Amino acid sequence: MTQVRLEQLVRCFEGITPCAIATASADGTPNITYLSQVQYIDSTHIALSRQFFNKTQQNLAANPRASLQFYDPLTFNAYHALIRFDHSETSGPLFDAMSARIQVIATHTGMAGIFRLIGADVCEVLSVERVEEFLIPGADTVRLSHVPGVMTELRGLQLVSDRINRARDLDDLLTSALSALDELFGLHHSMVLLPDESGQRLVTIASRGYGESGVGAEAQLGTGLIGTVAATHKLLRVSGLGQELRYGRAIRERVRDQGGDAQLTPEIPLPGLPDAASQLALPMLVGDELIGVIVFESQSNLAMRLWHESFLQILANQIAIGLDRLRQQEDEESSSQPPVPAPSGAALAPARAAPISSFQVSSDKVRKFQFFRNDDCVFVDGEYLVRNVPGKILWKILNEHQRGARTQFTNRELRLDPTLGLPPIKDNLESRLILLRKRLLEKCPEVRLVPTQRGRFALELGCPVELTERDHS
Amino acid sequence: MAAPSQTPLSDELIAFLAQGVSLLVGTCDASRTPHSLRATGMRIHDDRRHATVYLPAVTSRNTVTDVAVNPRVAVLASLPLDHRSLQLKGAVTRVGTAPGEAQPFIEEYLAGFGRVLEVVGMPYEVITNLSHWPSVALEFSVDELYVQTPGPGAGARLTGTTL
Repeated sequence: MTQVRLEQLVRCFEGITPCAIATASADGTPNITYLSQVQYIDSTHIALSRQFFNKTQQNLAANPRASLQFYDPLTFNAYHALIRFDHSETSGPLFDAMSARIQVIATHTGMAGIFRLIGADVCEVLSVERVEEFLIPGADTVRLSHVPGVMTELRGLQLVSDRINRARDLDDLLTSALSALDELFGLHHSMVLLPDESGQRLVTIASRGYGESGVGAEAQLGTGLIGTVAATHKLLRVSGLGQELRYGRAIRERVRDQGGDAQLTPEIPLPGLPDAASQLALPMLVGDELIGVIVFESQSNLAMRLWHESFLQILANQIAIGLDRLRQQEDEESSSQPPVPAPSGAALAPARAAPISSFQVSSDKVRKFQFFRNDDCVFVDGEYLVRNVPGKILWKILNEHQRGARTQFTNRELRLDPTLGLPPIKDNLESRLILLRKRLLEKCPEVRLVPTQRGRFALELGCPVELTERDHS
Repeated sequence: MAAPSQTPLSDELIAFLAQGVSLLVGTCDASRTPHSLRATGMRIHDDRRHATVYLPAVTSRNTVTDVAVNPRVAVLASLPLDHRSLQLKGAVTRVGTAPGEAQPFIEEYLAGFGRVLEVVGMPYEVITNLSHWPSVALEFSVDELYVQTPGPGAGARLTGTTL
């Protein structure tokens, strides 16, 4: 056995390869089981997750010495640590961090409140040894996955920061930041979600690597990875997602077997990649206010490493400040605009070319829009398009156009319209318009909302439209 | 040694143990310091009350030393596909170098385990690269069975014939 330092083995505790613990009772009967989570604390301490009272905890209470067996997820070398149970924590930062990770799996598998952390059992690490010849000598070159290197982090950080700083508007800021992270750091799948007006949901406003269908996808506050990050304001990184979901499902089956069906809620699908192996979600905060959540995903188990947490949190902070800056700018400009909406055909020469739609789609085919009054949903040709505030904005614009052939609109008139339900300050109107534009581009490209000047936009119709209103049956 | 109180291993449990489960062995020394070790195969005896677990000779020093002073042993069998897990507890009845005919049995076990791990995203070679020969055969009595599948009731004595 070769003595090694625990701090060199942090990646062994990512949750990709499971850790096992052997304990012994007072009479010397061994017990061995897998642990759902081991958290590295420092070079001489780790914490074990405890979700259920079991033999391991009974044994540790009677005999605090235990042996931990774990594996390097890249080389698959095995390690043994001799540990001694010290104390259990049921609150505080360590408990919260471990609990949040479990909550992600619990909420995804419909077991919120059933599968939860009872305690974080802190153990002193007495020694760590590599198991010699665990792998046949010469065969320890198998790699789980290729881990892309990062060129020069500081230079990359500067480039992304510059793009954020230069952004003209919200869409420009998010698009340029996500593309820079993809090009410079190989983070190919990312999305940004902002809270909706209810504060209970987050809506995807920008995405990269998912195709257009990513925009508009929702996450519930407090549910899953994104919802947990939004509720706790703390970043979460989950590796070995497949392994953790299988673990969650195993517990779900045990609950079901024991007649606990009534406590279970349906398992919800993961947002984003269907086969994501690792995810990192970071809160975008300004002060205590949640501006949004930024999420990175990969099909590789080890694409998100510990250093990404610090690095990307700096960027998330930058994006949050950038978003807040643009929002404030928007508020100020809005209050200085004339309160009366510009009439159709007014001399409002476009200040710049339409940035959203670079091609014009036209058709003679009538597109049929339906507004469902009871849940503010808009469908186009029977297919869901958008809902809530963006849905109501679209409906207002289409109706006003139909009533008087108006084509020019201002953000200010939308803000002054009480039927839209926008809050008086920090209304995120620009983000709702971006969502609406992108959803239209994807589902009905013949209908476009083209920015003309700051705070103004034009409705362009490349087809006849038909509008009907009804209630959901 | 107390008479075995556990009913013999059922057909269902023997089938479960034969489908590429992960095998870990727990022992402890005279000072009650536990040790764990990955095993590379387990054969259930015809009486269904005994089993032989195979340990790589190069990694089994602690385990062999432990059972010389304390014969109690725990073996965790867990299926990575769904985490169904069974813990067998008993006492070691014999320790020795595994005979040559055990080698193909061990290699077949590793191939099966590798195929299961491949399904959950691990490279197959990880398992075939495990040191496994020469091997130590650890024979033990299966005195107690515990459900070890994570969830409520984990660690409870198995009362039925299946997990």
